[in-house]
Amino acid sequence: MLGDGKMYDVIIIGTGISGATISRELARYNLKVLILEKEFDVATETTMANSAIVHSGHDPLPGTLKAKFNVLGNRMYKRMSDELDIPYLPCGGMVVATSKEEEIVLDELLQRALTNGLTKDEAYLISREEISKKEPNISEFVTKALYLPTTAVTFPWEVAIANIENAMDNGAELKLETEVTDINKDEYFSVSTNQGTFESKVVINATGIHGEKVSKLFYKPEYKITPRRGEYFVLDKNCFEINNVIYPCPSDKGKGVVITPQYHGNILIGPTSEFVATNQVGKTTISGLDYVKKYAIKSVKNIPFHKVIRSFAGGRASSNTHDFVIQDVNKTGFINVTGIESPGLSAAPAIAKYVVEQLVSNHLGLINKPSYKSSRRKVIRTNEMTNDEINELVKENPLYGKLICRCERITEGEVIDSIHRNCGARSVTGVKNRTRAGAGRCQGGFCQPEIIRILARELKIDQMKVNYSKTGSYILKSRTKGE
Amino acid sequence: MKKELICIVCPMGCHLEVDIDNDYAVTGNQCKRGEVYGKKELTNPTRTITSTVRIKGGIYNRIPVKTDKEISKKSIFEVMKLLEGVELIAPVKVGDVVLENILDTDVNIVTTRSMK
Amino acid sequence: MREYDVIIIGGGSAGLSAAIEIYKEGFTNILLIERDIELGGILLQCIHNGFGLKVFKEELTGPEYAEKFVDELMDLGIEYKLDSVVTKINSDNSIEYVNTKDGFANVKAKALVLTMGCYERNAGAISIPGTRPAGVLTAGQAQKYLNIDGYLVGKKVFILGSGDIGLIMARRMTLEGAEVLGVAEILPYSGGLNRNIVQCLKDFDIPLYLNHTVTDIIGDVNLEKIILSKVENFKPIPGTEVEFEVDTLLLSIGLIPENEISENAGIILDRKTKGPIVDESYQTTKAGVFACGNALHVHDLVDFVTEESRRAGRSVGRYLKNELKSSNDNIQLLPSDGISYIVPQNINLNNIENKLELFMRVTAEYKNVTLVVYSEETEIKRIKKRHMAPAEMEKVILTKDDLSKVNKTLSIKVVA
Repeated sequence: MLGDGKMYDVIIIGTGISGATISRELARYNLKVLILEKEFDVATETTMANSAIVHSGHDPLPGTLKAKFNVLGNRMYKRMSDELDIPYLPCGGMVVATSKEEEIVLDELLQRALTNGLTKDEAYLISREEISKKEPNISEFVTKALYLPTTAVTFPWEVAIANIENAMDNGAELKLETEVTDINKDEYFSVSTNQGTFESKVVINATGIHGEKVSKLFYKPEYKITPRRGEYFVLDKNCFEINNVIYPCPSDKGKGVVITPQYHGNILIGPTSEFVATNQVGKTTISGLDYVKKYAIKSVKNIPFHKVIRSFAGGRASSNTHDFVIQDVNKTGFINVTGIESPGLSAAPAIAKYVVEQLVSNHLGLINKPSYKSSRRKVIRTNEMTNDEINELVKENPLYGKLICRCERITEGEVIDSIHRNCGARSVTGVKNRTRAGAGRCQGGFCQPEIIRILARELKIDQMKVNYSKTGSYILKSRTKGE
Repeated sequence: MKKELICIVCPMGCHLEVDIDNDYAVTGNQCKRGEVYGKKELTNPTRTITSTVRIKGGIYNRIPVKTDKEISKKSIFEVMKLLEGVELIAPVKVGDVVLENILDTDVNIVTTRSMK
Repeated sequence: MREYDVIIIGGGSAGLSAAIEIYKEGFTNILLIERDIELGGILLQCIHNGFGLKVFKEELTGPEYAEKFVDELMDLGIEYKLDSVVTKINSDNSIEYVNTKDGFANVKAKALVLTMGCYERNAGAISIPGTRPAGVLTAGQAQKYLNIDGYLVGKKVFILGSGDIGLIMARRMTLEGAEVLGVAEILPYSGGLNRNIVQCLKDFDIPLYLNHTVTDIIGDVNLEKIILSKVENFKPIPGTEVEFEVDTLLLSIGLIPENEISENAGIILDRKTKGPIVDESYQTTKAGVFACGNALHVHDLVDFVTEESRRAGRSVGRYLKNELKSSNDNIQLLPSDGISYIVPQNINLNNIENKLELFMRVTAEYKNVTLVVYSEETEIKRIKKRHMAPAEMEKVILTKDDLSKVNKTLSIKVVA
């Protein structure tokens, strides 16, 4: 197989939150950027299955990259969400204590938060009474909390998709289903893939749980990545009141089972924290889900587990250095952005800025692109519009009046748009991630046939070639007898 | 010898007992049809077969059909094979005969809906 | 804004029968709103037979049954909208709907009938451990893809849940050349009709695993294997795991009445049926809003849906004629030992014309027992039952005479 012989300035490997935000950051400059992703769609691994929280920065150990970039990143989220039209829920959060020992930990966390750069308005202790006012469903075990008003919740995959779409709008190239098999450097990098070889001056390794493996294609890394699996439940919309992200007091295994409100009214509960092999990160287990149930009820009472609409698991890349691995390896221009576990989502925009301005800049001149557009085209979300606004749309395009997903109120017009934008949907899950069609209580029971039909029509492929999620995950396997 | 069966004639699903040695005498039935079924099921079981066939020019590509009478249970897959070769052209009315006297019987395949 | 006497939400078997009945009661200013491109509802994909034995005294397939009512509705000239989704019920009983022609529009009505049917419980709701590959679908989804669109979703199938849809699909997939390796049921008894066990499983030697459930889904891109385990009290027994190599897992694990817009309108639902609480006239807790069919409680036979919807339709007619008396003091129906739920949930004796039909489900399988209908200390009726199962809805008819013995509450229990 031949590459197209094009020389790129930067090749980014991986389209999770790190690769995505870096691609947008690079798009500001006159640089030729190629983004490579081995899966059928972007952001399908860690970024797809995590707690979705933009943490305040209270938790990482002071002096770590995690602490530095978390606080900086948190402050960049609102602007990024506005520019890229990403749903963003600045709901606030609290770490709850259920004993005297835990109250002492709260004091430590408060100090840590302040040391990390949060102000006194961004981290302070609140009493049981104040907690109850904010959270009527708080459990009777909770005595005190560390309140963190700058905590927010987002849709991690939408953040990634929007960043990549914007990067592509500004000239970046994306190659999906392209897996890197080898990386060599002479004068320039030669990145071999199953779709040919590409050359660049800088390579960014943003491959999540595969970070160490990809590093090994180039050199012998001094760090190790072990995937940490987290299992979660999703509750139906608006069935239970939770107003803030509720963190338990942390242990050394992770942040514990968190109860997180979501933008559309769902509740996310989890995760567990278990070191597993790479191929086990997507599996939910009876013991894992039981663990989530058992520990969630310590913070919050009366959780309606009978209203669960989905459970899932995902892996986070945990480095044995206990910190992010962000480095220009021997100043070669091979830049690792790995070990991005929590607070990776929160830190991403700040990491991207650092990587580009402090690391890439050592190899490439950063000349501002005059045509750079910082915003992407607004996403039409009819379930957030008034009837009059929608009816104006329907006059021009009647398909905004054709309801495809009844549970989440998504129209055909929105589904079609999600397919044709840059970094557009090409699978049933891709449509779900961009529009929410199929994310509701019936989990696609009603809308899936329509989504398949629309994808086949818009992508001009046979319905039997429409993927559910990954490459080759066809839903319709064959025709009935006599076809 | 007595055999136990569940009657399938109607959704009641009576539990029948059929005495094979006693001219297939049936007990446990709540109606006459069950008595008939009990004997028939052990001597010459029959079924109604429902499936779909291809249709061109209709609102859908497939149209549901059925055997208009019960047919020998042994013929189920043979009937399915026969249906593979069928292609109807819309419009079609419910009850239209699609295939007549299949497999040398007096059973026909008919449509079970109209389709424009 | 156009005003109708009645708007019926959903054009399946319940909506069709209710509309026709209301029309025959003399109210022709009706609108039936249906989200699909044609009337008929779920019956259109139920191409198997077993429908109509009570209503038409002949055995029909789903589409044939639906067509009889659609034809009658068309002959009567009842107005209907297709491809239109009702999104909201307002406090004045006007409704909001959306379609490509009108966008979002509101229509007024004096009365509403909720006939939205039900949706299938899915894999997400029962948290089956494992991965989330392609190949896990509900039986109804697979049925639609096969019977309407003409596609098979797989070649090697396992079915979880022995409800009728699962049993029907076991046969259907087998006829289409797929290999169905088994049907698992977590309870000790099947949830489907006996006739389906015979003609869908026994006919094709498909094993039924009672007291079993799927405890692992294995596969990265596509489903590759499932693990089946025996259960005790719904808990998997370690060491009983059996592996099946399949590319498809179909779920037939329950139907849930579709009531999102009802709930949003403040209509109170019954926790057991998940449908609205209704009185003897099928009126919900919101005045002028009636419910019948699967949206009220999930039925086993469409014939019962038709009969219920006709009763509801007649009540709507009486409501519009101001003949229904309202009361704050309705008699509560109390399900007692062995009874899961009773519909209607409360009754106003003044509105009962000649008899009351009560529908219920039992909580377990029973053989040779008696249903006892009573009002506090007074026994009203005893009915001997040879066989009852949760999968088979039971009916009890009370005459005016029976009802004269009712005091404050009406209860039903199962006794040995």
